[in-house]
Amino acid sequence: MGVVAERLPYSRKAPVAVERGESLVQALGRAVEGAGLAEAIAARSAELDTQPADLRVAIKANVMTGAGPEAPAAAFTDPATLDAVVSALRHVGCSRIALVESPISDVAERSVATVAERLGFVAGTYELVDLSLEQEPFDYGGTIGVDSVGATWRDADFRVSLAQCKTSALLVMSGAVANSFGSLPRADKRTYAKDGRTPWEACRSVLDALPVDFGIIDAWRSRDGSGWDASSGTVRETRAVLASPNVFALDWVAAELMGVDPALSPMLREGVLRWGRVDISRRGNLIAWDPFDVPGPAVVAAAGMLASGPLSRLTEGRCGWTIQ
Amino acid sequence: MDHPMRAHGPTAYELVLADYLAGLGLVLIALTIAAGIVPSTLLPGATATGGLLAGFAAAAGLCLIQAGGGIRQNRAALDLGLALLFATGLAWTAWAIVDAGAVPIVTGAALIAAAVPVVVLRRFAVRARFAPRFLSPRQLETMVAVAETMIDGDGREAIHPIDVAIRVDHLLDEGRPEVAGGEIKMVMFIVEWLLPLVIARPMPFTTLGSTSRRRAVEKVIGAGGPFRDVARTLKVLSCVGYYGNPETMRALGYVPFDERERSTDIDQTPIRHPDPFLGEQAGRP
Repeated sequence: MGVVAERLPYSRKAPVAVERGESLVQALGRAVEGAGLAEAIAARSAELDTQPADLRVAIKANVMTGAGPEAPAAAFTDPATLDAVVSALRHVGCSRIALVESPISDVAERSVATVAERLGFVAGTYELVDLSLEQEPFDYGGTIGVDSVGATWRDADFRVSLAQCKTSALLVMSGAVANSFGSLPRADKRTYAKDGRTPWEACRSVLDALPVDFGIIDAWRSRDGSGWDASSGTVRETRAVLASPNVFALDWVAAELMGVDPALSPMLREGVLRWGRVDISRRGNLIAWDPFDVPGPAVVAAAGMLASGPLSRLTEGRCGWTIQ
Repeated sequence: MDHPMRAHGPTAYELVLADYLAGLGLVLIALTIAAGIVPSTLLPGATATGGLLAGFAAAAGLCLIQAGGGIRQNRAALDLGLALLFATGLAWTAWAIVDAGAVPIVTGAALIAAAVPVVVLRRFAVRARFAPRFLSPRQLETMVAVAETMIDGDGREAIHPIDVAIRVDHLLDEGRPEVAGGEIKMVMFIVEWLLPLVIARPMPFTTLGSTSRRRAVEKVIGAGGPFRDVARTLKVLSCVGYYGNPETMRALGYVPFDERERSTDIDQTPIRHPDPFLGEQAGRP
């Protein structure tokens, strides 16, 4: 819509590749190839006048949603998926790769390293970075303004959002756009949803300030559920991987496959309002999954009021209000 | 199933509000029927005035059912139904308190309480739909109505009035709102609540139909005094929101210089001219 918005990747026409296959690695490889990961890396390298091997790549994955023994399955990144993404990046010449994550105050375990180790993430081909440990002042603009940023995420030349495919009481569905909310390094993410501000406005501000260059949604095993948080849902064997250089278009297509009207998601509506309508080039296996059990309008409306209104205290200590 | 990217589709709040209004309307009609059957129990007084009060509750119910059928299209019905519901609830409660009837007091209080979710949901619905940054939800709705009135292209407009209003809201937020923000908000208030009075329509500007809105605006364009400033502000805001939008620019055939073919490889360094009065000394301490 705006002149500034037109410069952002979320306003550009982009391919969204949906691939299924015999294995996750095979599907992911085809998806990132179909979505043009190699071209995106080459273009970014040319833009910065450098080689892919020198590009600093940061991957924001869903690690902390797996904190705690009761963490619902398929609501956080599978280490095998991350390894496949890292392999795909190495295949196109990248070598400086970091997995970044930040803590969430509503879960008991605050240490990213501890949670990552328990879930089976093994740093080696990539570096594991806890963004909360490298905070520096940064002006995001939008509804966040001056806050703190994780240096690795800020300084990355190529940012990747690796999200899970799951429903959300607040957003109807949570994908690669919402995942970037977790790049905010402070543990208390509620700070960004106070005084009438909403998590989706904060998320959009983050994406505007530090654009994400590529998005991947791991829908090999998805999670649906119409309740307040992910623990009320079930695991769906959807056996697919989605990828796109435009995370906004990517989430839109993911919602379509889930059987949801994407416009009902406050996050995607915020995207349409701020970034405008996008032409999406859909590729691959676009057969919709069996409709997901998604939160109804009453749940979404109630969650929205609880997340940013005066009643938000009622949700303290519960992770369901957050969006990544 | 592919979903077109709709910026102005229904929000979750609107869907809930529509269902709530339809349900509440039916409850109000049921209450009126029940009050007719057992007036001495439910009504503050089993008199003609009490019957009139119950009739107002039914009227509120009918308006709310109508509003539930489409809260955007039937906005006037929602406004009227809500006002009737509040007024009836207040009168019911006050009368019951005077006459010390427990059941009528509870009934009246319930009528008032039933109106609260409507107000809250409506506020959240507008915020979710437009995500205003500078204007309040009501002011943004007024701005949409203003844009609809001022940019009358008979369906050939390059962008929707909502896009015009949102652009104005964003520009006001990104600019220096402290300079004229207060005045612009005042103009929005005057337009919403006072402007309809110039054509003898005592209702909000956003509730008026397009013809009545245009009549009101045309009246103030030709008027003197403070209303002339109001008309100028409306024109400036509408033009900035409409012609400042890149989609409108493209529709009109405007291509920014940097995107024109002939701008390629042109040295665009500003030419420095000597000050005609100070010559080469200009700018030096």
